[in-house]
Amino acid sequence: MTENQDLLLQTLFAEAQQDLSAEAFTARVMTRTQILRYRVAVGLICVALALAICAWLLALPAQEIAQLIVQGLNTTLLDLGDGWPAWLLAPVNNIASLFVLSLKGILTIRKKIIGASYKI
Amino acid sequence: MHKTQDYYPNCPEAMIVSLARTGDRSAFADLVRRRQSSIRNLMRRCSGDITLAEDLAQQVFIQVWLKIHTLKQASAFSAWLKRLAISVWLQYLRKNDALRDADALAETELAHNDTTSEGMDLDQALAALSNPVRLCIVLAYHEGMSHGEIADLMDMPLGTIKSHIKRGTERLQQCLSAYQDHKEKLQ
Repeated sequence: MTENQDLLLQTLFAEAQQDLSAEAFTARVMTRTQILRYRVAVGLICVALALAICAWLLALPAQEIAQLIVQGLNTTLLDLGDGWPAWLLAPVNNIASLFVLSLKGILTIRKKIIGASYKI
Repeated sequence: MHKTQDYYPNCPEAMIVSLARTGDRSAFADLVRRRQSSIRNLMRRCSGDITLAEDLAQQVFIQVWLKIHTLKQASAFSAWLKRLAISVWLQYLRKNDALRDADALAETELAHNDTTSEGMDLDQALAALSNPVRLCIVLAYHEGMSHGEIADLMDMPLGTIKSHIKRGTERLQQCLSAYQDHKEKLQ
């Protein structure tokens, strides 16, 4: 739909429309998309290689750090000896459970204060 | 350079669009072949420079190639392509900072063009307009879009679009008056 269009301009715009040859233009566009495809493929290969190299280089240090964290979180809070109380309280008698319970407590208090709902 | 071949001469466009969405390069080439003329003409009217228009039109189809999988309805391809073409043109203007000083520039150009308006063809006359005004005029006259559609597309107030089109039309009438006189004489 057009509003209050000038007739001369309408005519001029219609006359200026040329039926342009498609072959060369289409070929150029297809060549450019092909180049783009190669570039994307090369980029993806480079990223994959970089990730593989990083994984190879950092695998051992990352594993060591993970082990240290796990050991730290497993550290017992109270020495309860080797009896059944130690065995029974093992799931909560460590730094990891202290973290989880503290977080849960903080969120519960916050929820009560603010009145918002949180999920953990 | 690639040789292109018409693989789908009698297929409806919606079907070719659907094929192109799946990554079919032949279907995409066919879409380019079918739509290149209108996009190249649009870019020629917008830029007034054939070389630039060719490059921008190619960029439009590369964008189509990259984004066609996001097109939800194959039947909406025509409007989507038009929107993409305008977006490429606006990006070009923003990249070249052409919108900022466009009005001031156009006024300067108009002052020079006033004395030499005879024989100006449409593209030359369009070149005398500021970029936003020219785009509004091209969308209204070349694409046949309503003022409301242009306002939506360009994300501008309807009043501004109407004012741009009014101003542009007056300016073009002024620039092309010689052409009109010549045409009347011929008739």
